[in-house]
Amino acid sequence: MLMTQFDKDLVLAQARRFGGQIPSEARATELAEHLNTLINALDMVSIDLPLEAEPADMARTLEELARD
Amino acid sequence: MTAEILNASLVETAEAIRNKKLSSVEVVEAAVIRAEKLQPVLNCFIQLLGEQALAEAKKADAELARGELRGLLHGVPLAHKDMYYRAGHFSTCGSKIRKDYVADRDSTALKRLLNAGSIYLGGLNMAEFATGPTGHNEHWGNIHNPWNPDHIAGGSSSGTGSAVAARIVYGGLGSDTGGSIRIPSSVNGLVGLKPTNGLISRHGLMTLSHTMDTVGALTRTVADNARITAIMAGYDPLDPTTSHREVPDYEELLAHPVKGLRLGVPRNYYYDIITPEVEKLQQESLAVFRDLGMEIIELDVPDMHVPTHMSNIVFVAEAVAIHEKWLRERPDDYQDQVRSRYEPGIYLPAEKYLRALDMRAVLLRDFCDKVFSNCDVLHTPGLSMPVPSLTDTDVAAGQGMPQMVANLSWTTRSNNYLGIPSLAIPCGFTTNGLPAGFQLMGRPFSEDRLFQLGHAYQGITNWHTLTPKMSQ
Repeated sequence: MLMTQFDKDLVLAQARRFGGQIPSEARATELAEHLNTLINALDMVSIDLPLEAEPADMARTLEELARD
Repeated sequence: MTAEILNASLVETAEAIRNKKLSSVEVVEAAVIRAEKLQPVLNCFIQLLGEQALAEAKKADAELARGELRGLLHGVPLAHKDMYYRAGHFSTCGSKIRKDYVADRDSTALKRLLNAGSIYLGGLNMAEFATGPTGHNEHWGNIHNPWNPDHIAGGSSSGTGSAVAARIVYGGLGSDTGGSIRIPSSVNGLVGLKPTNGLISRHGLMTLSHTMDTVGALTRTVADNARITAIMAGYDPLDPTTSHREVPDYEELLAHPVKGLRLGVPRNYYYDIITPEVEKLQQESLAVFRDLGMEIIELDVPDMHVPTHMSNIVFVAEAVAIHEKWLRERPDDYQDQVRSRYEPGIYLPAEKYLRALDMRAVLLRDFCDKVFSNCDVLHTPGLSMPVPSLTDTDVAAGQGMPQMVANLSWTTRSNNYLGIPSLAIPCGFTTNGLPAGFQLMGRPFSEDRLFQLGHAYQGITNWHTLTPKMSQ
């Protein structure tokens, strides 16, 4: 699996580099869990698919699947 | 007289002006009087431009007297979410950061409505930067629901929902990136269309998530929505993502019979969090479609958690790209709820964003194969719960609040990722006296069919004709 595992330390390190408002430790933990949920869902659904979509792929698919 | 004028539909009012049974000045005056009366209660406007609107109405009447008709909206007052740009004018986007922003270009969608003769009554209040489903706004004040001002007006097109439901204007523009037209439509008892991505130009409006933002109208009737949508839709060289396909005459097609069409009802996901009284209203709306001769088919839909997660990935990445500078330099000028929605995008790896985009066509194809090979249109709940109060959805409400707010977009968020059209329709009231609604979804570019079903439904129900007490 290609899972990226976030934890609060990684979030806080990136937050310090980014600037702006630095999240609390509790918020950093929450953010890490949220990101892991999203990324794991993506990895699970896309891991076996050969993806090399062109930029226009979505627009073309909408047209192709349209009710005509 | 004010109530009589403003309770008519947009189509009826446009015809009355065109046939000189009413003047545009009479209509705009009525709208301004009601707007001034209700603004202290609803806070739906950021900019109310009564004097300018009346001057435009006088021009419209003079043109009509000369036999000049600008279009299908001649002399009709509309008001729009305060993120549709007019060159040289303020557009706050509901924010503190852009409170003094003067636009340098015109929104194509708005321009098309103005070219069709509509009168611009003002910019409507909204969730900050179109982010948030409740209508809380610390900078411009919370927006209130005309059915009960203690309750949310929905979001992010909160002011549009409130102003149209309060019968101040006949319709207005919202924008929808995850439910921001459909949620305020549901909670205010309105019709709202999230169109197919690419049907309506996004040129000249605030960008939130450039691959998922859509432009659409909130109205009281389906026929009104069909008219506004037809005027705005179609290719725009200023937005190359718009489709070149010909726009059908949605109004002309409204009367097309729905008998024999197959209406899908999902067995999984969409009813997972619904409350019993909202579910009962859904069943009653399905009975109406059965009476109209439609075949009701229960079916399994793909796991909608997946496109919902994908839409969150795309949203946070694209929103942070827009807001990066302000998040670094002016983080305290955002509401906490808004800044926290963008925050995950700061940490998201770029390859995950691009892969989520790559998955769009794959998941769209899968959804259409599984759903629309078995039915013509899918029927789902709009909001899964009775419309909550402003207090219950405020940051001060405590632990359950974030989940409650997240649940507001349970049925809507995935469609912006999939790109398919969705039409919100009112279908009754829950015991707290607030509206409930359902949602119709179709294949890409099947707005004509969604309008047909919605119009047929409104032909034998009267939910859309009921008026909040404050507007009677």
